[in-house]
Amino acid sequence: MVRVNRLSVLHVALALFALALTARAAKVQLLDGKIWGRAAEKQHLAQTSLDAPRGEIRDAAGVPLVRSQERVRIAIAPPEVRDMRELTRALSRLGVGRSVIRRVSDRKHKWVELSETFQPSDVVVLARMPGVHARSVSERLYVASDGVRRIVGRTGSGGVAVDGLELALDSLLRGVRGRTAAFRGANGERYESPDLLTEPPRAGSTVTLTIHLALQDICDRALAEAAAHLGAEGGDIVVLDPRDGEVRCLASRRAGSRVGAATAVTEPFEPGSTLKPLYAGALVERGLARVDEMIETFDGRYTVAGRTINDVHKAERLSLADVIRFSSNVGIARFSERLTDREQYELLRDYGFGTPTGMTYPSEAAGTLREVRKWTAQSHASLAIGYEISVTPLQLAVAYGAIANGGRLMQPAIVKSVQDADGRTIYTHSPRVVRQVLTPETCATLRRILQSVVDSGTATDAELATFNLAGKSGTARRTSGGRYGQGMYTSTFIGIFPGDDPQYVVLVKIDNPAKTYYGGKAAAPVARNVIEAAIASRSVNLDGRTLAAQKIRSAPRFDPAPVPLEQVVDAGAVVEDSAPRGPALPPVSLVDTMPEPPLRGPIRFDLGRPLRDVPRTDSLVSVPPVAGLPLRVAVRELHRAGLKVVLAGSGDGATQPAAGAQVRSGTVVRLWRP
Amino acid sequence: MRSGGGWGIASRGRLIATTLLIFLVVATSVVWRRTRGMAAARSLQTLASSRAELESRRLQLESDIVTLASRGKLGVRVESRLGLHVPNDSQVILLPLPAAATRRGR
Repeated sequence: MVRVNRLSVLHVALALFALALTARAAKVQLLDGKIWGRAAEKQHLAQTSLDAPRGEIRDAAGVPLVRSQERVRIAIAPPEVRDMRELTRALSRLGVGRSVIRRVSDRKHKWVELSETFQPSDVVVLARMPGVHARSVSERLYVASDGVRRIVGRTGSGGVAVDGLELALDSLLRGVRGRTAAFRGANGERYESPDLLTEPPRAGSTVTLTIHLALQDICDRALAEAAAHLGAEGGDIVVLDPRDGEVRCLASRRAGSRVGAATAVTEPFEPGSTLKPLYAGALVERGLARVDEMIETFDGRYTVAGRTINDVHKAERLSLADVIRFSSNVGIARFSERLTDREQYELLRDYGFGTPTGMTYPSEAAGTLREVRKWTAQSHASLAIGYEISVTPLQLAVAYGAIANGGRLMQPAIVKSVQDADGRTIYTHSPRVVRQVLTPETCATLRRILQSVVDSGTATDAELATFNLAGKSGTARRTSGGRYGQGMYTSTFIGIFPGDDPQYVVLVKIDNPAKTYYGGKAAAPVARNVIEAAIASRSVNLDGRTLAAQKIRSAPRFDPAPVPLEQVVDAGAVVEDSAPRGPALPPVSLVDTMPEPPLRGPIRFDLGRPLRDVPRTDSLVSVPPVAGLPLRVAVRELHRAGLKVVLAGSGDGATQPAAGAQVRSGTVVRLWRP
Repeated sequence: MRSGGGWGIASRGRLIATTLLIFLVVATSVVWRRTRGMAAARSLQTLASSRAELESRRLQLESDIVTLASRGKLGVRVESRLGLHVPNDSQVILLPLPAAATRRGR
């Protein structure tokens, strides 16, 4: 008989228990090991998404204009605060407003979020206080220049691009988010480790612009001083390199708005007399007129299709060159009669008017150039004097760029190169010729005529002491509330510098100057100031070697006496018809003839109420890129852009129309759920 | 029998003591390793945070330098304080670079 004692029973029980534990451990480790391993990992590791640093934007010289910087956003839970006095003192030291501090001090408030962000080093102590919740955010750091900010645009909350180049180049600048895991501590704290980096973030590309910060500063300042001096509402300056179409500066200013869009690209205007040289070029090119050919100008008063056109400087007859030099409306209207409506339309269309230039910038305006079938009997003459058409300052600068470079209409560019996160160059701008609009010979002739405008015509205020400058001034009436306003003008001057081997096209447009409003008096001196400052600067990309060779004289500037018009008109005149020469004209201070707007102008052509088939450029918006964003953020961004949203099933956050497309504000956008 | 049973109890006791000792050593080393790991993670986090702070500060200072050295800021000051002005074109002397220097510059 087997003797069973209590100790043996205990041993057996313990052995069985150990066996059960071993079996269980074996099941946990061997059979369910992966499941438990995942559970443990989930408990101890927290998956975190890493923001990709947004790419830099630099100027042409490599100066950083926009960078991403880590900042700290602070929120305070007043009920959790232990030492309120210490906290308020710390907030006060940071410069937080009194009203916010009062809200923080009131323990009735559950959560107070400070609107501003802070340098991480400034809030080290504050962030450790109980009740203070600090969160790192990436913010864009812009160089302090309103002009640059207008060009590069903004990013909104969460680094979403809102407008400007930030929006246009978002896919390049955005980068690719990464993923990492962090150890979870016992109290919920997280510890990141380089070993746990599962997917490193990829920084956005670095974009180098064609803009020069130094020149941008020069133009911003010149525009601000001109606006203050002339009592103007605002204006625009465009500096373009005609040789490769690179935009060197886009300065804009509007009363009442500190920073907005680059209006030189987005706001069209009626160009007035600045179109006249383009007509002269077309007439010469087609063999329809010679520059020294005289035409009757009827003492500055001419009626066509029931509309009377007047000149400021009245003359019986003028040569084509002098029509440009003295900005004769009658002369150019008469010369333009040699072109058919179709030829006139094609001439303007060839310069790119009525279509966007294609420069990388969201919401670029196309301007307005109506088809011939929509013209009235007066349209032919109106267009010749720069009405019934609207162009952006950039379009006009590009058109003059063609005169400057020998007839090649260049596509303007604002992006010089793009480097990816590894420093590889993935894009470099190469000049692109859109079309040949004039022959080099005609361009050289036009530049000589335009030099006469500056040295003895309507824009002598732009004249430089030691360089030839070619240019044309223009003055046009402006509309307000659907009508041409009384005393409202756009003063414009476009300079080609130097006149013989041009490196710059400088367009200056002044809106509603309160004092003098003639383009040659208001805008031309601004262009001269810009060019003088550019010559004196070492960092604006002027080719000093070529420039030195073009210096014509080294005399101090003097104010020349006004040139008698009679003397100018007589110079080089070729009498081709039998019309008697008009009476001698008195010496006058030359100003550009301001074309009168068409009689029915405000009704037929109104920038505020454009034609039905022309989309309102001021209501065009770009569809923001929302791929990869949470649904709520994506919808918010689309709404913020002024669009309506319809959800269209599951997807990857794509939209229809696609991101970047120009659509009218209020358009319904289909969004595939991210 | 008695001596064999005595050896059995004594050796079993030594075995248990050894096992406990090994367990204690292993457990202590695990805790020590974990504590060191957490301390290292905290240091790493502090260093990463300091690095981010310094990087942010560097960017801010570089941006301030660009802004303060720009014509927009500097130009106004030198004109008002030192009475300087932008020269007109006749006051600027452009020195043409010799061809050799130009080639080297390229």
